Amino acid sequence: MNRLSCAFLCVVLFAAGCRQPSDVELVSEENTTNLEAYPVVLSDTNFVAISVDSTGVLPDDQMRFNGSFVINAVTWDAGDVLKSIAYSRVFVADSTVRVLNRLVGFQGSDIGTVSLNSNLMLKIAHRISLSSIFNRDTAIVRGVQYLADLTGSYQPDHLYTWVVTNRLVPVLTVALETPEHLSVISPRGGTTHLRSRNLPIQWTGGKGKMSIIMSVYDPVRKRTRPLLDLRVRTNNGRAVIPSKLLTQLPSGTTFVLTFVLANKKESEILQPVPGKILAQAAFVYNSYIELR
Amino acid sequence: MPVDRTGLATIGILLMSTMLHAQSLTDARSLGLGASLAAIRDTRDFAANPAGLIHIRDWDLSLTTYTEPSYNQSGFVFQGISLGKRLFDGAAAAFRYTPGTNLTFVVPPVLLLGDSNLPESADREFEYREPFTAGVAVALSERIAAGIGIRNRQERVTDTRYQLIVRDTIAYPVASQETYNQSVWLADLGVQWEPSARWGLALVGRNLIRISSGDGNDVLETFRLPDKIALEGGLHYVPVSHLALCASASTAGIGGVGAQWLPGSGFAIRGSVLANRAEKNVISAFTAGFGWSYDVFDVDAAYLHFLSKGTHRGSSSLDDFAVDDIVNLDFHPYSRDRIVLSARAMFGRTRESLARIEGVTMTGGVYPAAREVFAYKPIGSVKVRNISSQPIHAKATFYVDRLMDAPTESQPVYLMPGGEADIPLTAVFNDRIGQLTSLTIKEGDVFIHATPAEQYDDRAQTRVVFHGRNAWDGDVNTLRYFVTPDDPVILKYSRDVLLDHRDSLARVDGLLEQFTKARLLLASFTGRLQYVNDPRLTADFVQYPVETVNLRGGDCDDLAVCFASLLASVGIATAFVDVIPPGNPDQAHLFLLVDTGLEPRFGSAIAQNPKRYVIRRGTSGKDRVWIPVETTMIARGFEEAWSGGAQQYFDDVEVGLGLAHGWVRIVDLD
Repeated sequence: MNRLSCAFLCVVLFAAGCRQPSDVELVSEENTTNLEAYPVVLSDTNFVAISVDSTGVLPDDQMRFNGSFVINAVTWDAGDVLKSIAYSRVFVADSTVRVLNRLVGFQGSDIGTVSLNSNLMLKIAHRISLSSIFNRDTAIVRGVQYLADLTGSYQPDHLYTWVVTNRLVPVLTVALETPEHLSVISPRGGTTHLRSRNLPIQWTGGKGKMSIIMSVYDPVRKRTRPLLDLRVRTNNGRAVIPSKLLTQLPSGTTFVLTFVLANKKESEILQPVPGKILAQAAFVYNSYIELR
Repeated sequence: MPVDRTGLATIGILLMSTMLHAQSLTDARSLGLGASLAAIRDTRDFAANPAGLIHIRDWDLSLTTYTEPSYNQSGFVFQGISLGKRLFDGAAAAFRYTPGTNLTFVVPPVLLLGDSNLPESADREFEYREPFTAGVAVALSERIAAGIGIRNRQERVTDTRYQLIVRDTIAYPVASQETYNQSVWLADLGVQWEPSARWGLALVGRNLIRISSGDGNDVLETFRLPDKIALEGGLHYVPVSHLALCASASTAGIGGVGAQWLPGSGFAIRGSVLANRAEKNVISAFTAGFGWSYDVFDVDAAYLHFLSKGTHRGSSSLDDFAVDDIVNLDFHPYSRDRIVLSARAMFGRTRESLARIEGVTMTGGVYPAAREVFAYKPIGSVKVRNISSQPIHAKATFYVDRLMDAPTESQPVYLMPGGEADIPLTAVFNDRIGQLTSLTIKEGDVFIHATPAEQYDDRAQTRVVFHGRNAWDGDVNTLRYFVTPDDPVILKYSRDVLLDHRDSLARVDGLLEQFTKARLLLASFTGRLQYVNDPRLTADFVQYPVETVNLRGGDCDDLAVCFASLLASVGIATAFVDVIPPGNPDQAHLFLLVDTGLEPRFGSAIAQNPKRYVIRRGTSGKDRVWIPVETTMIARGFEEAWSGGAQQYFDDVEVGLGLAHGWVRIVDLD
């Protein structure tokens, strides 16, 4: 080997090292990239959305669809108080309701009779709260909505079918399967968490898409205001809300994490107004926590 | 120090080292040795011990690249390049650029902003680099050197910040990334002491001076690398010629022991065990490597393997991450298995000598007549010492300007480190040496080359005495070199004599033809030659045959040489009979034996008296009849010279038993 060969070897050594040094990934057991944060958007902020913690339907969806066929199993977990209900609600809008030229809601259309798995649903008045305008608990009645209390009979992972009959003629059938049961392990209601630390979230069960709606709770008015829609990328029972986000949350101390595990589909309707309706079967779990 | 005690001391130091930042991955040789602090002798990994730079001879260049075979990425990373230069006799400097000395930690994002897909790759990223190092070494004495190293460390933290921007009661999450930079200059001081060729000790104070500049930030401060002052010690010991042992340790908690074996042909095999106090297992890794040196090039390769994968697999627990455990950017709890390749080249005029000339001895003067003998017989010798730490093959070359066409080179002599040997010097002189008419003294150049170097390692000049062309050292063995049967004048003379007697020669019996030719040639000088008495001494003046023929005179040596040349020119073998009477060397004498070619049974064909001839076996290997001829008596006729020679032979050999006692020597001339 002569000097030229050795010099060539040196050049090869130099040229061969074209890669960058590898990084060291620092992960923790709880530290997985599993949440995507979206703002909870409401295109008209005077619209009185029905609380997400009970419907699992985002306010914008409440405005976007002509109606909704919903069957929900809802749990409120405040630590010392644990309350669960299950219900089905059918609402089809036929026109907007305006007060002081502001959109506050929709008028519920009487679409005939609605049965859920052959059981008739109650037709009740549709109330619209005007608290966002008058800042007090005032409501108006505009049209009807359909309701069925399923507490005690609700079955997860079960097919439910709504049939709308008008003058004895079935005009619309919507069928949907309820999601599997979901158990939230942490954070459980009533717990206190430091904003300076990541908030690990853990649950078991449930398949399909899941969202965690993070809302700030006003204990005086007993109302929640949704802030963030945290969509779970992979339903593996684990996610983390970084402390860097917690520190940016409003200064209120009580927050609600609403776990929404929902099966959804959209259907077309022609009457009373042609458009789309949302069918949703959801398991909703509300965990009230303190952030300090 | 006896070997057993030395061994115990070495083991002790090795054990101590496990308690104690000396190893590096920036060079394959250093990695293979594992603990090369005291073994640094060039730009390879000089940042570990800048004092080691004192050994570089001129320009010194090294390159390193590496790959991580067990990691899920292929390809090589360019570790760095170092360039060093000897400034003057007692100082050297080097500069190193190491883009590969880079440690980047990535904390994956736990939350993405769905609309903007931020952060793209990491929630946090902290990157540590030491891209630039400069070093200067100064020799404080022959065996002690000090060096200063200045390292530039760059630290960068990129952090994701979330914000909620509220518009119309809607909270919009936004993310942004902030980057904070800090540049730190760290100064190290190293001292290297080599009490002997076998021992080397090094002490390095790390982070003695620290100057930083950059962004002040809490996050940056949280993840800042430790830069506490640390003391490192290293030992290099060569117990036997092919083996070297190394150990190093640091108060920062990193240490190692290593060994190097030199099987020969420029190859080196290395291995080491590395320790890191920050690891779960104190003995955390081992290395294996080999190297090959050729000429001014070194190529090395080494493999680093961690015994426990733990944090060495490319990812680690964020909760367990402790930045204080990273005291060395090349060897730390997050380093991965890797293969390191290095190449080094020396340039310029000077280089490290592997051998030294301890002395040159000339055996005596050069007699031009005997110049051919010095091609095989040493003209002198050179005492050579291996001053390197590795075995060498040393060769000596010898050259005398104008009298030699090219230097002669000796056979290589294998020398262990510290070993000495006398290498004989031979010489092939050209014809100009025959033109020296008187005693002359010339400069002879002696060079020592130790493989694989092309340049010489050491040189010496010696005085070489050249005698005049006619000088003779008195040794009858070397007198033959004055015999010149091929000389045209000699050839013509002998041809002319035989031509003049061609008729009588034609009538001679074939058995006696050689005897008759000898007789005719010798008799041709009858009455035409003058003997000049020149008692032989240890050194003498000998005429070349052509001079004797032209001068028609000479002493016994001159005449013996002349007649031997004439007889040899017609194919007749002769032999010198050298007589040095015991206790009386002044009476030393020389006469000739001439091969008649007769078989012993035909001896009576030339003389009835058997004392007038000698039955002996010459270079032909057969017994033949030889006649003694006293060349100084040729002027008085062949017969008298023959008789005188026979009488002389009878007295000295037969009666005096000179051959048996060694004061008579017969030297056959081919």
